[in-house]
Amino acid sequence: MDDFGGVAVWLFFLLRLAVLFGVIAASIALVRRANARAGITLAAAAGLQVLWSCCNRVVGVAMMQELVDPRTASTAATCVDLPARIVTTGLVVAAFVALSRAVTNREPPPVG
Amino acid sequence: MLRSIALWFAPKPRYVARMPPDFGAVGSGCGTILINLGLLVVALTMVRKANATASYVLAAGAGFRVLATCCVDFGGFGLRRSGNYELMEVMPSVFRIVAFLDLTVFWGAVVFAAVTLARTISAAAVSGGSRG
Repeated sequence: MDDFGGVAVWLFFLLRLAVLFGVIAASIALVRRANARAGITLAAAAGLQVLWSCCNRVVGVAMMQELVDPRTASTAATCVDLPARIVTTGLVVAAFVALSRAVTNREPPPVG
Repeated sequence: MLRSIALWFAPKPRYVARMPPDFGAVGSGCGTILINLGLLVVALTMVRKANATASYVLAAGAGFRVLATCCVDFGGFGLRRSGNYELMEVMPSVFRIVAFLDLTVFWGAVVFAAVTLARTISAAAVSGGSRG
């Protein structure tokens, strides 16, 4: 199978987008009610991953169409890849730190 | 006869044309593994104080991502260096499936853990409100 063409590549790309949009919807609908900052941070992380997936697909199509030099495209993709991964996971960490603090530092309910 | 036996035991021709090493993928893989180990530590320390179930699920998601990154990035590096064209035809599809599983398992774990923590917060707010 061709590495950058074919139905399977587009199918996986669309499945990826479906999963990520599901994550964004769940973050906004379920998590934001409990903690607004954590919900929006998680949604931003998933949104960044959507952008990253789209960028990878555009690079793949450009390489398939021979619009760019494969080596240049590969270098550019690598340069974007690591910062995107670090920022995405960093946002997830920030969201969970905020959620954990909201659980552990909540004030005890007034009694009586 | 002797010639065919000799050919049978003779060393098989190997593919010697190797692709240039992709050190970018290895660097990217190392960075991903480090940041996900950080997430694993946060899950097993801060999040565990808040909710144990969410903590273990999140840790499992981060651990799976570490394994999948090792498979895809380092496996891809080794494959390029191996020069085995038969594997090179098959493995990109395998890597694609592993990458998709990685995405699904990781984000599934993240959403499950976040929703569990959010429910804990909401339940505490409701019980606090009813007591007050």
